[in-house]
Amino acid sequence: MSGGALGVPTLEVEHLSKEFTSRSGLFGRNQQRSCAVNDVSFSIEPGETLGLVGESGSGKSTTARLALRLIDPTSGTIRLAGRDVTRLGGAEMRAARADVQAVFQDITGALNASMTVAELVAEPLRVHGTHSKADAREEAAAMLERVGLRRAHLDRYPYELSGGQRQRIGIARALVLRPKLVVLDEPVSALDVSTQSQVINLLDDLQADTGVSYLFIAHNLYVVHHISRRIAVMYLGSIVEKGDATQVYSRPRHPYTQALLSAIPEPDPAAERQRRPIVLQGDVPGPSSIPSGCAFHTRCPHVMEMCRTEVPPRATFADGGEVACHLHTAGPELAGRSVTELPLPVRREPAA
Amino acid sequence: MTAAAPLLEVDGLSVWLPTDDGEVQVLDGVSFTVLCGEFTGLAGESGSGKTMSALAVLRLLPDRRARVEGSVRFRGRDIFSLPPREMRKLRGAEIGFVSQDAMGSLHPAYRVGAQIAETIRAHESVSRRDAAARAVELLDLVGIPEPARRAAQLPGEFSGGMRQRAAIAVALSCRPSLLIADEPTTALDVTVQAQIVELLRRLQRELDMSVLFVSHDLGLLAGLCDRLVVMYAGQVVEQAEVDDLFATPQHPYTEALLVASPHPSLKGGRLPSIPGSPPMAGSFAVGCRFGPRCVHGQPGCFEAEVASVEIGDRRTVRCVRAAELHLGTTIGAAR
Repeated sequence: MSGGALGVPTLEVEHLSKEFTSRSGLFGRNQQRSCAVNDVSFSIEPGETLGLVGESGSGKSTTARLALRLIDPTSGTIRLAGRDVTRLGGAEMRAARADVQAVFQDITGALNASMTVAELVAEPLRVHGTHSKADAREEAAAMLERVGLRRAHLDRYPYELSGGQRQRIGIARALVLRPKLVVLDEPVSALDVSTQSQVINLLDDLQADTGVSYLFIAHNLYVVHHISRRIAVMYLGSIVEKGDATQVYSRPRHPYTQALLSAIPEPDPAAERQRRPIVLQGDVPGPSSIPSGCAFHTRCPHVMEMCRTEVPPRATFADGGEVACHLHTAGPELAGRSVTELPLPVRREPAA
Repeated sequence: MTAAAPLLEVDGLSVWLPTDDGEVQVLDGVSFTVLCGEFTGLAGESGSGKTMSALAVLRLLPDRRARVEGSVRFRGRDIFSLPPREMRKLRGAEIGFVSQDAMGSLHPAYRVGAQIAETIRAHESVSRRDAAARAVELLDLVGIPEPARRAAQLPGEFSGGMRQRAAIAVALSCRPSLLIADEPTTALDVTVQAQIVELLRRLQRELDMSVLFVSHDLGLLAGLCDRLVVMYAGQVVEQAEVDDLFATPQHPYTEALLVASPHPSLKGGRLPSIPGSPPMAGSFAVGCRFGPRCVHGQPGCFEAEVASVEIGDRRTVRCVRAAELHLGTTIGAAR
């Protein structure tokens, strides 16, 4: 097991925020601030997977970049296996990065087309100076076999491989340094259904073997549900609900989680005819115009007067779940019960 | 749904595209029909030929040197024998098209309303003023709030979901009897996808048009379609009414795809998957093209080309072992 000491989370993120400023007008006098990530806290235990779900613009990829320290947070702390890495400088951060690796959606763009598979997988070992050239090649060959590719692939180039095989190369590159944490940002979204599950199974196996922790980001909620023990749901830069995967899916506490889950179609015509999706009105507001009070109030079917002005407090429950929604402390006072127990208000049909 | 006449008949359609290494066959004997008012799904993975089939129906194949065999009849007229002028009239007026990339199908420097009006005036003799008024009506029809104000905006001022709505408005501007939608929601978030799906369902009902919906997402197709055509490696491997297809798939590929599709009861354990990856055009297996990945494969599967067999009313399957396999009974068990 390469996980940290018992009880010390692999990754701990506290009150993390990231603001971007954009300038416009003459000499950039009009400054506009947009908040991409707002007061986000979570932790991942050794050998555990945390799923991060949300739509585009929810800040999940920015959160991933912050966890990797590819961008610097405006405020908050990031601890890796108990060590504060928020302000680590160049050389120290580079060394620490051996423990945090990443796999991104666009694997083809991430692989240098003029390098062979052996060179690609051995590259992290060379960069971190841990292996000689010959040893690195041996290690790469061993890693390649673990991700289900053959030695014969060592001297191939990325263009000679299929999409699923390329994603396996990406995973091999991420795991060859035996990191404590791998950030997986939409790792299977670009793959076909039939190859998607092969890659998910591989990730499961590798975690069982090495005890690596995953921060798993995807928009396909069924896939996240399968692979994650806990799930955090993001909307407009904030975590609106967090909890055990089964609880979040079967008894969601936040109306946004409920809507998100009800929007996914199921491969079953009979179930589909019965399904009554909660169709949210409008689009996700932009990061520079985050609504006041609860950020979800402009689209929430259960919106109350106080939601427009007051930021909802974060309520925690005995099962370890967390939700930021007024419905649990005011109004119907759900106090941790699922929002699915509330009758839905009559839906406004869009003008025909 | 009323018993209706065939609107679109694709019969034995084969397409070869030229490449540096000679011709490559991308479609092989594709046959299916779409009746008036019918919602048909074209399902398959990358390289299966689903988008190529849709483009062939529009006679918009990516290479003008493409070689075509077989026929595509729209209201009984063979579209490959139409002169280009006639084909242009058909496209837009009778057959609308919505692609995955809404931004790519809208001109970034023209106002949205003007782009819809342009399509109307290309096909009908109406005044500028009337066309502009109809453009606003269409934006309203596809559920865009404040349509008059929005019509005067540029596509860049629209969000992703609104752009796809505007692209649908362009496709519907001349009241086509067939709408071809190629993965129209793939680039959108799930909550926006739900809006677009509801819109397409409503429009199909209200305008009584036929829809050919191309997608890789069986979950999406399950809720939308009357019929499904499943493609693999340039061939139709199975087609049936949507309920029959999901309850009793006859082709091992359909079954494997159904089992491997993400669904809500997935939790823990190993995910069912299909070994290998979908083949690319030019490297299809001899005999059954799914054979190398099929759990039911036998030596007999690789001997000769497998023919598509009609096994019921508008139901076909392309598998030599279909009759003996009794597929579909395992689906419930797998979940």
